[in-house]
Amino acid sequence: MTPLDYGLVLGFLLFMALAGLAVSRLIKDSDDFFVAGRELTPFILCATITATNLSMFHFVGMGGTAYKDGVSIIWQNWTGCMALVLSGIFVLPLMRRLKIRSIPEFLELRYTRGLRTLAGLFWGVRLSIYLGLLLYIASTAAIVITGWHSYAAWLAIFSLVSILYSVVGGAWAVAIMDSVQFVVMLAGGLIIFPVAMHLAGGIPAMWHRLSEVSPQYTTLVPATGNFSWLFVTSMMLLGFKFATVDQSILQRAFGARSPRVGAKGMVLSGLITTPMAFLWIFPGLAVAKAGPVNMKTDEAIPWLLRTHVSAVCVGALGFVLCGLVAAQISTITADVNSVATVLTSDVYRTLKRREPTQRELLRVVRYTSLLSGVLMLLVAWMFQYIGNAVKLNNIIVSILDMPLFVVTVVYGLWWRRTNWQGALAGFLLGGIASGICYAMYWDNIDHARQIAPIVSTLTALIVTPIVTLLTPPDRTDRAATMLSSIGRGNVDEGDADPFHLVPHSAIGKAGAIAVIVGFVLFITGVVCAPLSTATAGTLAVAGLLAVLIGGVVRVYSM
Amino acid sequence: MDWITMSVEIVGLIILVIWTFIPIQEFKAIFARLRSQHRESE
Repeated sequence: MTPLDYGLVLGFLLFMALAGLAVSRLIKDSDDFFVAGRELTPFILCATITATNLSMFHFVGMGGTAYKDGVSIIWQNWTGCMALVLSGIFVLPLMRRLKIRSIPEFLELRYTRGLRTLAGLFWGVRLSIYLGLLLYIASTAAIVITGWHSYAAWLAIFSLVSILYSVVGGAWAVAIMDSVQFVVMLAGGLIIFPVAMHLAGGIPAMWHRLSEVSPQYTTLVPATGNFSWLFVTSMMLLGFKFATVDQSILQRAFGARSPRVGAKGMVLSGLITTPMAFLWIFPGLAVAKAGPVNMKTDEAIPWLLRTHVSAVCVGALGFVLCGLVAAQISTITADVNSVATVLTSDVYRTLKRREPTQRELLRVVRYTSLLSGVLMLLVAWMFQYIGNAVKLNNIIVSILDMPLFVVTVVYGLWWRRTNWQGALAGFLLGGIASGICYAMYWDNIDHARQIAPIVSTLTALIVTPIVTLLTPPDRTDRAATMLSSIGRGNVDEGDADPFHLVPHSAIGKAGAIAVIVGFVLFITGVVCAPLSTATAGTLAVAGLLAVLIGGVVRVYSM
Repeated sequence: MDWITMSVEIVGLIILVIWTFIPIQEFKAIFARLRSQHRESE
C-alpha cells in the first residue's frame, strides 16, 4: 500500500466520523434516534437497507467461498433478494402500519409483554455477537491487505468511528451515511470486478475452464456438496427470517414515511442487490481460475487486491479499500443502532414501572449505544482466540432465528388463535431442536448448518399450534384488535398513496401473481436438483427474475 | 472486455448514477420539509 492509499482510507474514516456527528442536531426525540423520524423515502431506504445488508463478509468471505466451492454460494444473496421482495409486499406494510420500532414490540402487541422482553434480550445478545464478528472480519482483512499487523489498532480505528456517530446521530446518521457508503462501496466493487475478469481472461473463458476443472464450480444448484440444493433451501428459509424479523434490516424499513414507501425500499433493495452479487462472487471465481491454488478461503480476495488492484494505478487500492470500509462501517453502525433500540425500547422500557420521558429515553439510548459498542469490542477481542468466528456466528443465527420467524410472521400474522404459550414453546423448542442438530453433527458442521434451519423451522411450525390448542385461548382482544387494524382493506389515515394488501388495479394484481408464480418456479427448480442440475438452475433463475420484476410492478401500482 | 463483464459494469454504473443523484434530491426535500415544520412550530 502506498501513502496515498493510506491517506484515502484515513481521510474517508475521518469524513464519516465528522459527517455523522454533524447530523446530531436532527435528533429531537427518541423516534428520530430509533427510526429517523419515519421520514425516509424509497431510494434512501433502498440505499440504507442495502448498505446495512452488505458488508466485508460479502466481498471477502463470499468471494473466498466462491474461490473454494464455486458459484452456488451466490444463492445466499439471491434468496435474500427474493425474501426482500416477498417481505416488502406481504409483511413489511402490515408491520409498518403499527408504527412499531422493533420486532419485539410487535410481539408485545400480538402476544404478551414478557415475550417482548425475552425477544429484546435475545436480539441484544445475538446482534452484539454479530457486531463482534463484523469488527473481527474488518480488522483481520485490514491486516492481510495492508500488512500492518496490529489487531488492537484496527479494532480501535473501526470501532471508534462507528460508535462515535451511532451514539450521537442515531438512525438519522445511519441513514445519511449509509447513502454515501452505498455509493462508495458500489464504486469499489466496480473497480474490483473488471480487474478480476481481465485476470481470468474474460467470463466465457473463465466459465469454460472452471467447468473443465470441476463441474461443481459452475453448477448453479448442485445436487450434492456443501452448497447443494439443501443449502439453497436453508438459505431461502434464513432469507425469510432476514427480511421479516431481522431487527437491523426491519428497523431501517420502519423508518419509511409510509407502508408503500417501505415496500418500495425493500423491493428496490432486492432488485439492485441481485446484479451486485456478481461483483463479489465472480472475482472469487477469477482467482480460482488464474490465482494460486490452496489459499485459505479468506485470503483469495485480499490476494487479488494486493497483487492486481493495486497495480491498476496509484490510489486504486486505497479507493477500493474505502469501499470495503464503507460496507463494513454501514453494517456496524446500523447494528449498533439496533442493539441500542432493543435494549432501550424493549428491555429497559418494559422493565420500568413508569413510562420514561423523551429526554430520559434519549439519554438511555445513547448509553446503550455505547454499551453495545463496548460489547462489540469485547466479542471481537475474544474472536481472535476462539477462531472460526464465521461458523460460530452461523450456528447462533440458525438456532433461534427461524423459530422467531415462525412465531412472529407465520403464526403471528396469519393465525389469530395462536397464544403466547404456543409462541413461547415454538420459539424455545425450535431453538433446542436446532441445537440438537449441531450436537449430533458436530463432526460435520457444514451438514448441520444445512439442515439446522430446516429442523428448527419444522419444529416451531409443529409445536406452536399443538401448544396453542392445548392451552386456553387468549381472553383479551389483543390479537384481534391488532390484526384487524392491519388487515385487508385497512390503510393509514391521511396516507395519500396507500398500500393495499390485495392490489386494486389489474397491473398490481398481475405483479403480485408474477411474484407468487416466480417463487413457486424457484422452489420447483431447487428441489429438481437431484434429478437435473441444468433444469434446476434454469427454473430457479427464471423464478428469481419473475419475483423481482413482479415485485417492482406490484409496489409501483395500486 | 467481454460482453458479460461489460453488461455487469454498465448495470452497476447505472445504479451508481441513480443512487448518487436521487437520494440527494430526496434528502433536500426532507430537510426542506423539516425546516418549514420547525418554523411553523416556532
